[in-house]
Amino acid sequence: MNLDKNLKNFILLIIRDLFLASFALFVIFSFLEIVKPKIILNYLNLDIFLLVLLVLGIITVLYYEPAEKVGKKLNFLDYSTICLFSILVGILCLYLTRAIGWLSILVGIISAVICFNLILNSES
Amino acid sequence: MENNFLKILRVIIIFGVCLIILFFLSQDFAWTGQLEFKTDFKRFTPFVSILKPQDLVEIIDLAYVKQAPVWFDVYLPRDFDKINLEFTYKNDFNYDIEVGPKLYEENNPLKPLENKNDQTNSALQNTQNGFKIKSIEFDLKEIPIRKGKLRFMISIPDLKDGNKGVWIKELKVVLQRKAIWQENLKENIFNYFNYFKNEFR
Repeated sequence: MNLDKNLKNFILLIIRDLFLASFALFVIFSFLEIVKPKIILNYLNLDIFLLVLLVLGIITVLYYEPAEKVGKKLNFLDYSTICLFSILVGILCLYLTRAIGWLSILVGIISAVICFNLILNSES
Repeated sequence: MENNFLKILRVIIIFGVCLIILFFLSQDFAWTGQLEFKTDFKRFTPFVSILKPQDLVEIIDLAYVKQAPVWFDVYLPRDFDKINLEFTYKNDFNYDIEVGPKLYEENNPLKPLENKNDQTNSALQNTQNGFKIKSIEFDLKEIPIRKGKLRFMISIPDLKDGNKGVWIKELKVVLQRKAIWQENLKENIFNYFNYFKNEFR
């Protein structure tokens, strides 16, 4: 029973890491697309990539429970920096997915929120 | 034990992310000196357009050229030295077929893809169901590129009857330039961004 729980946690940790890696890739791809349009989109089916990212993200959000850590308390400057970075990530993601129309705004907002939560979870 | 395994896995994931980014960059930069892609002309691909004008071509299972000339665009992600166009096609009525860059309305520098008088064509290979594979190479230093785009034309002067057309199954495009080990990295990246600046900005 305990082994099952450990295994489940272990798999969830791997899924979370894969989600973080895919999300980081998504942000890097968005940045590269701004530098040179089509540098990634010529070779990558964005629909499949976004679908994988979405599935990994949903599993992470629904099932992953981060272990409680004692860390330093964040101040206003920390929050502002995280906010700014998250907004930047959101804008990048919006830019990359601009071809899908108004849904890109939704993707941008979700990306910013995910980014904010991820950084906050890792900091606190 | 589990923690160690997790650490190794994380290193593998980070390594994988770096490899994926490098892979996409190496594709667009053509670091191997070659970029290859295919199309069946049924839809636009990132590198090749459909055959135009659309009313001269019918898409059934394959692209069927019922009148000529028709043309298509090839989009180049960076500067290349040569382009090789390999057509897989069916020419049941043995028309002369010419292919080349479409630079002007008339008198374009076309090369023969198939010539009914030329029997010494060693590069011609017969495949199943009468489809032939033939390739033509062009030097890109002699062809002006406009906004990262090259327009090629397929001319079939004897094709008059729309019911006796030519089938095109596939076009394989191979773009060639110096590999990264044949020119230095700085020069390679400079040429890449220089092309981008000249063509798209």
